[in-house]
Amino acid sequence: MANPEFYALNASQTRRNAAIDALRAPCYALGITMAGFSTIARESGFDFWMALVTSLGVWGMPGQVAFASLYSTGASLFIIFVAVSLANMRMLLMVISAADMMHLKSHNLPLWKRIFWMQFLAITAWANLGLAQQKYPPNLLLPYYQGFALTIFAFGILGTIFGFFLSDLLPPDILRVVIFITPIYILLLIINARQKANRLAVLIGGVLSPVFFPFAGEWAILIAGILGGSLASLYSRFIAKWHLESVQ
Amino acid sequence: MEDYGFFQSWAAVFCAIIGTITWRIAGVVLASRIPADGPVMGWVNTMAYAMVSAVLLRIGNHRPRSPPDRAWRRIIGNVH
Repeated sequence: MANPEFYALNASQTRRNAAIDALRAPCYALGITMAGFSTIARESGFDFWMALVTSLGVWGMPGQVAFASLYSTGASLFIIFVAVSLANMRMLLMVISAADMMHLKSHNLPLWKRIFWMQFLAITAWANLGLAQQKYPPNLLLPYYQGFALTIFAFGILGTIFGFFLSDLLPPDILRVVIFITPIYILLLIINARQKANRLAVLIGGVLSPVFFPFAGEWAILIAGILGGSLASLYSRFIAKWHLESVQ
Repeated sequence: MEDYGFFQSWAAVFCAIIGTITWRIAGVVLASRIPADGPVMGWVNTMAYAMVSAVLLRIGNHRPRSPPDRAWRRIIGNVH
């Protein structure tokens, strides 16, 4: 539940706290990861502006990596569209989940502002929102998200910019390895989700993804997500009866 | 398989952006229609967690498939 000391904060103090939280570690991890994307993008044949606009407009690492991989093979635009859509389909679920956590409805923002703020949503900000939910009251989660997401977005874009030219200085193999930093960090974060059902979903989704990949390709993410989430949801609701019960 | 021209390269970037933004817009629109504490929201959340977990385990499997020398020639052609 929310920590009493955070109830006294106002929106701008919360934004500042969130920016500090982001500056502690996640923004560097994300900056380095985006530098890794830039390296892959450059190897795949992107020019600087294409890599930058992709980071600004897509802002979803798995979709960006899928895009760069396909681009390097000379795939058709239709294949690129389908693969990126599949890799980033989780945005739909993450946006719904984040809007629910932040009680976005109660802030009465116009549609364009809601879409604008959700453009900055990626896995790191979403996973950290789950963590912040355990400390901050729901009305402060939108300012928290704004402070956090904008900070990591700035670092992610800086990472894209520097990463593109960094491969002149560092061997690409090193930069290709750094792409793993953020996934490991996020996996640790989401496996500690507040709801037991969500922890189970992380486990099942993670196990099913490599199982389905050999024969389902990019569809494996979609199948693992829907199947893993549904199994976790059914188990928690009808067998373990975890619903509405939080991890202590 | 062939190299992309200037127009096709940017069309590909545009496709990638549309392929992502569409989900975000759909999420914003749907979020306001799903009851907050209902079972559907719980299900959406577990699917989000499972899908994020699935996608994180996919990032690690990236294999660049472009011969490096060809890619480098294109970069030099595009940047300098």
